Amino acid sequence: MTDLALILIGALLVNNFVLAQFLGLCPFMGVTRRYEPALAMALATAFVLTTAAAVSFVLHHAVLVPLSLEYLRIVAFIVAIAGVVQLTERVMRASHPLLHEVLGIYLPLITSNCAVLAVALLAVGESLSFLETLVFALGAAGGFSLVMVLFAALRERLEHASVPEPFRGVPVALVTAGILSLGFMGFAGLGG
Amino acid sequence: MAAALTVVGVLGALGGLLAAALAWVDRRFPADRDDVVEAIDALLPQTQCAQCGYPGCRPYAEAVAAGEAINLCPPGGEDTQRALARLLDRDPGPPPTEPQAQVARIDESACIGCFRCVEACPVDAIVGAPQLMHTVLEDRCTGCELCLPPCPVDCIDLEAVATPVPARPLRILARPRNRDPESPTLACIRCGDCETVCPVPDLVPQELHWYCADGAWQAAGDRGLDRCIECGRCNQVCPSNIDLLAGFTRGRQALAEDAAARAEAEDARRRYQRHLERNAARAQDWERRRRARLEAGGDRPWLT
Repeated sequence: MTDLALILIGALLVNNFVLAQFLGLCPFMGVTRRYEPALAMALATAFVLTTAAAVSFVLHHAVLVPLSLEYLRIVAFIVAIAGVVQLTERVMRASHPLLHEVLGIYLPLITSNCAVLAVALLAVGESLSFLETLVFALGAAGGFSLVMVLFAALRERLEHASVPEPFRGVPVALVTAGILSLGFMGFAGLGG
Repeated sequence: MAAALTVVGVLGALGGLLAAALAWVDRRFPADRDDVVEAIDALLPQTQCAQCGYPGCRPYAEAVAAGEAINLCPPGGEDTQRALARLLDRDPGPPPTEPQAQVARIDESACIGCFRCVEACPVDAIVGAPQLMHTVLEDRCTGCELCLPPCPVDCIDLEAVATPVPARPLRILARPRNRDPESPTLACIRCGDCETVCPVPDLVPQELHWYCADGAWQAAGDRGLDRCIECGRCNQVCPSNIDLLAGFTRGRQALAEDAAARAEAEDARRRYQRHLERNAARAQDWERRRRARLEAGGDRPWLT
């Protein structure tokens, strides 16, 4: 149980995917201009991350390891994640239109996100169990969502702040991201 | 070799499996496309100019499907309107709201060559290069106004497409002769012969002649000079051998030029008015969006 909690905290804060490992920076900069899309993107990513980790785990342990094809995992994971996410999206569109309305356009966008692939690869690389993999993915997704929401809120505030002309827009956002990342360094050592 | 085959087999099987699953899901849960909207969208010109009041062609297509008027698309013009009416079995209604065809015109002396209008033009009707003057290809321009907002020096304006002024003098080559080209011209004796032969009802050539001789074009115009067909029969019957027609032609020329000048002035005034309205609307829209953003911050305490 302690192990699971440590994995969760580690993925959530200490090794935060965006601010400590610098993964998934495209949605981090691209979709955080406004609060609602950022939240939707965060939820969609949480969904895809968890699905991807589960699918990759099964693929790795049921197919690649028995055939000793571990070196194929990047290609295999990309194909599997893209396919499964696409499948889920189609089914969701038919069965849960409301949910699809919220997550819809973001799902295909993040199937090939580096954070998604990284979760799958890291979980396999550290030979976690299935449950641990799921918790790890959930932690990563939670960390990603947290950062997305935080950053979107900051950027909305920045929009109304008086920022020197040359810094308006992306430059000041990058500076903010840097400071946020520094702040997250404070979590280092939290998980022991 | 065997390893390579395994790799191909595994990846092939993985891809094939997912492809089959996707195909099955696609058939099992077909996307509910709105075919009416698709069909309407296909008829629109896809310039995304937003002159209809919607952000683009697709949103306008959706609005039309929901009952919006079909005559709001100036780039599409009457062709699009008729096509939409056929498709939707609706009455075509009045022609597009912008009956006056217009084209953009760049004031080349003010253009700074910033290239922004070139990028904004949906039909590639503006030619030019960065740092060089741009100009508009009139036969390509649809008058969609999309090039106006990006221009930093406001040197683009829309002009009415020039149409021939019908009141211009009609005679081009053949010039009706006087009754007797050799004999001298005498004063008008008010015999009224010209009035008898004039084919245009209610036109009194001798009266027009007096005004034209005085250069009082406007007064002649008030008395119907614009209806003169310049047939020259008055010239042929005039006993004083007066060249009435020469005066009429000059008068009609002057009237036409005057009308064109006034139309141009009116047009310029209208364009300037629209320019002001556009700017005001833009400013208002910006302010409204800013307010909306601020008000939407209600459930977002960090925006206070």
